[in-house]
Amino acid sequence: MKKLKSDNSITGLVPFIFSLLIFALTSALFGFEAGLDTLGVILLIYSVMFGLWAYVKTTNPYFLISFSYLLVLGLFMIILEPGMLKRYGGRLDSQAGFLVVLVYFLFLWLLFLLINKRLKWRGREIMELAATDVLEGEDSYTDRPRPVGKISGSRSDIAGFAKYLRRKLIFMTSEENDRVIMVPVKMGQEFKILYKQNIDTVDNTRVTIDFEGNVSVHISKRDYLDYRDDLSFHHLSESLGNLVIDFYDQYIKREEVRIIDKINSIKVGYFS
Amino acid sequence: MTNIEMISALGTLLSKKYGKDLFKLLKVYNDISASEASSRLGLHVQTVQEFLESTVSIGLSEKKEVIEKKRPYFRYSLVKNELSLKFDINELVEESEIDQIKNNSVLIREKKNSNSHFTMARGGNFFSTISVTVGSGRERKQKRINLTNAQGKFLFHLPFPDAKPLTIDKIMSEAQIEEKNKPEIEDIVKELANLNVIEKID
Repeated sequence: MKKLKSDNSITGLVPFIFSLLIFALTSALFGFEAGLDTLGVILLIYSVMFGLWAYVKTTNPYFLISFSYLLVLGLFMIILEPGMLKRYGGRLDSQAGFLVVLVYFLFLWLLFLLINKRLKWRGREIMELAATDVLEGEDSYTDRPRPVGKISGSRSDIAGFAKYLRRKLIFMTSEENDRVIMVPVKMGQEFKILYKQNIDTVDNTRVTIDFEGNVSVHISKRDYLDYRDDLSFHHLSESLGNLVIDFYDQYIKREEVRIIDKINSIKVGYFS
Repeated sequence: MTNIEMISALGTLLSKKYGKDLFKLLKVYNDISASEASSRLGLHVQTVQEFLESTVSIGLSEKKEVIEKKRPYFRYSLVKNELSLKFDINELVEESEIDQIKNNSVLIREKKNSNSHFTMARGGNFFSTISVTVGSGRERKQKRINLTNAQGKFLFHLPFPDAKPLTIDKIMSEAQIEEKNKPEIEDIVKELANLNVIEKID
């Protein structure tokens, strides 16, 4: 039985719906070619916003595939003209043809990545795992962070661990002078996180590890209320902290695959 | 009246603009009524009445009721030319209230629905301030307390509302707070208990 409420958010679909609306509007007002050009430009902007920028922020290389796909699709939309097929005897010109092949190839690659959850933010799985053995506890929420344990390791170990979690989209992380801050990101929430300078806010659930190894946890009210029941806040916080400590131990032992196995053991949808 | 209260009352009297003048009148006159003193100094009779009553309460003067044309009133006369007061800061610490905490018998944790907000210090594992909402409705207001580093560390380690409560010593030990900081920890615990942020369990 899942402890989180089901995800009915359509935030992830907003860019898609927005681009279709703009396409329909410009086509109706200025003609089909203008509509295609506008859609192409929007896709180019999306490629940078959701592909390249996400890669820069997370270093997850698969975002480059997403970037390339949107970029090529955008270029194709721009060079595509109504009547092009007729003009070239039922075939696209060589430039457009090459882009079509590339779009298909990148689309299939992207589909493969999506199915394998390589581009999925894993915040939902993290919060489910944290709540696994936590019982109910009324009126126990507080917006105060609290220490939950200690890990041993050098500054580079801790920073490396944070980078690993970020690259695998398990947590969005931010390194400061004396600590790393790690925020579990659920699908649909990544837009807020990717474009914010500061992720260390009370609105975000976060696990903080200072370079002396002290681990502390803060769970946001929004994430706490996302559970079906009022869970024991103390146990939930400890459980989230211990989960990260376990992940760290596995990372240090070079058993990162166990981290992914554990996360994959929670079955949630590709887009939630 | 305790020593501290007497010092406080005397300080208040002397801090008034007209304080010294009224004391002089008390010294010069054998006895004097509020009405006579107020007309002499051009002050409101109620102001002078309150002042003279305070001199009685700290034992500098005494009052005697007299009746004139069937109307009773008080006449005040000086009974002491000097007052010796000792200021002992320990008197400010209400020992009985913190004894319970000091003898380590009380377990504490954050209270449920405490209406408080803790702000983390920049880059540190401790809080810098706590804001508590006090009152309700139109009387609702925020009380903000700036914390010392030791207090911030202590509150960072304070058990959550549903966690096992701990003694002050145990929390101080977890937070690695030195013994010399204990009085300020006891003070913030007492204050936050009064503000319903901390729950004490005997």
